[in-house]
Amino acid sequence: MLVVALAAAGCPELSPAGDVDSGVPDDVIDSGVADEVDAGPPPPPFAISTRNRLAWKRQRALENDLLIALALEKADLCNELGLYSCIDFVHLVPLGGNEPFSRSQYEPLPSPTVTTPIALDRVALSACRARVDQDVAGVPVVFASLDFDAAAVDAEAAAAAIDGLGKRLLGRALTPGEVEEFAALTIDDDGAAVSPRDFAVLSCFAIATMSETIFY
Amino acid sequence: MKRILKSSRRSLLQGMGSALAVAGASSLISTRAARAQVPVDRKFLFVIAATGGGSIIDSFLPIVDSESPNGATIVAFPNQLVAQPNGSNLRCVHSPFPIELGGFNIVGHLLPFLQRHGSDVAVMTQECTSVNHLIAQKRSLTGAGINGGRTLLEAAAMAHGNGLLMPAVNMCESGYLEPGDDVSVPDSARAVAVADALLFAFATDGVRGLQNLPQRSLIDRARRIRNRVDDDSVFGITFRDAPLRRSFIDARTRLAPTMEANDLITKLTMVANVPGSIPLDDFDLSSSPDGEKVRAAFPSLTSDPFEAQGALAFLLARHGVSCAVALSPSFNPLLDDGLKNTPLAFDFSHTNHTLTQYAMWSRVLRCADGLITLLKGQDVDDDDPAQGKMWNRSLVYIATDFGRDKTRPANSFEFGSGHHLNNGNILISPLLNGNRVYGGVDVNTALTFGFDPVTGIAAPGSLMREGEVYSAVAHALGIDFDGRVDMPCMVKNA
Repeated sequence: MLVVALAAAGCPELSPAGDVDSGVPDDVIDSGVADEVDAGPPPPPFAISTRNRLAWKRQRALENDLLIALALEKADLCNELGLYSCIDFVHLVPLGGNEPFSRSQYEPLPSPTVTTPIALDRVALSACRARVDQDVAGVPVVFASLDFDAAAVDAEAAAAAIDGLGKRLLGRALTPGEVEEFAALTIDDDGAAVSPRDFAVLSCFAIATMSETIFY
Repeated sequence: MKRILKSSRRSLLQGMGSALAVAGASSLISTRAARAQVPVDRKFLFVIAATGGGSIIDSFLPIVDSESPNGATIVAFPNQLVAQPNGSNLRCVHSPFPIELGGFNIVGHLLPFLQRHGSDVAVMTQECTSVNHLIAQKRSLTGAGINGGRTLLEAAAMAHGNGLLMPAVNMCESGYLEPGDDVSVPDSARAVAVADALLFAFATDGVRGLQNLPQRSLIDRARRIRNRVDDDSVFGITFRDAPLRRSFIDARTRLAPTMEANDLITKLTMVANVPGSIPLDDFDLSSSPDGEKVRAAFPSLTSDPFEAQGALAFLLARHGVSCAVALSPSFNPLLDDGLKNTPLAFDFSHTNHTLTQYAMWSRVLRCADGLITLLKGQDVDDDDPAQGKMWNRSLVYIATDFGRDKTRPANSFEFGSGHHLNNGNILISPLLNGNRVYGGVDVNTALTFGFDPVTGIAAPGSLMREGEVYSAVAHALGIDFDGRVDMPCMVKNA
């Protein structure tokens, strides 16, 4: 769409890498810069936001999205010490909520706090663990591609699980590069195979805590 | 009244330098214990908010009814309800017996507080500029804007919070929780809001205390991959400069790992293992090494959120997490063998002035007592006792909304009071020339008056404002700013 707009405006065509095509072969142009100098990563083939307006997906929306994406009940989500709700009580404020009645917090915070990432990690880990436990114990809902009795996860099953998680948690298909990155969770830092259960929890956690999970 | 306004020697560059120092703290925060090598000039500010309007003439500046020709109709007390510790220049409201009346069950704590800490207590009169709770509360922390709208917590964080994980933490409610209005304050110096002190430790580790998870090393690996994919994603690139996302990513990649590496989830866990209700053992957690002593100082911390705040305030400062912490009793009632926290805190004075003031002052000062006792017993640096105790570098500012009405039905102790601008504050610190009232009270009207900030001589007819209180705190803590009203009479070695 950007390319069409620029072409209509009489602008030079953008190459796939996003740089301007001068119409002259690259080897003809002497940039005066030695080849070994790293020019940095190529610019992305899409526009970078200049307004940077993001909204924070706060605790109730986050909770609802996790419950729907992972087909869980509210009771399955994080409870500290098994007793105190993470979202409704312990981490309410860093997840964007406020409690006007018992705590006289009449407005939520305008932006996340330093503990928001940790609160999100705890909620996501708990939710993912709950989903995996239920899939292991009964008919798999989210991780149908995985054989939890196997010693390791095969590549195809891992890709299918990751693709499904992307669609459930982020509402989009992950790119092949992203799937490949997350597939590295089938092994540990030493290259040893990770159990299917652990892989399921880890891949779910990693995708559920992407920044696009809580900003839009 | 003589005002000492500073403008020339305090340059803009100085303020910018402070901001940059805090903003650049990232390079100084390592996975080594954050409290290592405590700067020799670091000071600690604790704000305890007397929510709802704590009246100074109902605490450390009482009038004995016989001292005033209007003693029967101004807020005054019979001689037997006013006490003065031996050798002290200060006196306080004090009932020799516990009070069990109208749902109250009050064991007074004003006199014990003066007996223990009176040498560090400075009573400073002031008259604020609003009787609206929210506005007055905020002004009590911003000095009504004397420092460009910067709160005392933010100013202290910028002056003393370099290298700390959460330089300022605010556990208060309502207007006391409001951030300041100075847009030049960096995010890192804004106070972190903490709603539940008792379980705050859980917010410092993303993994521990959760059961049946993969090994920590695997989770750390998942985080690394996530962070990489996140930054390289279309969303991450598109919004790579969005402030909201940038601060989130900064907290996730820089601060969170430091909190976890410093084991704050253990250091800040104030509760003991209690099977059934606080089953730490079942979740592979343990109580703070300081747990026993904070529980001794705050024995009701599991049932009283205000005590839990007091305990966390100490733990945050003691473990090098924060240098400025604010706490307050709630507006909500707390029943614990009587009315421990009145509905609306000090503002229940609308219904019953005398008992509310006495109950709430006792409550606030009991918490301050616990905090100060802990600070007096704690070395600044465990590895270097020569640096002295934390209390030597601390200041407790008991902020409040405003005062209360100065009159009462003749000889009555059962009456309600409205809001009143005229009041005073209590500052407690070895950095101050304590055991003294700065200003005074007119026994005819029960209205307080100000003092000369250089000599400290009481000056009837003058008034101190929020800005002067802010300045006194700032001066004692070495916080410099244009327009500060220096208080050499109050600050030691000034």
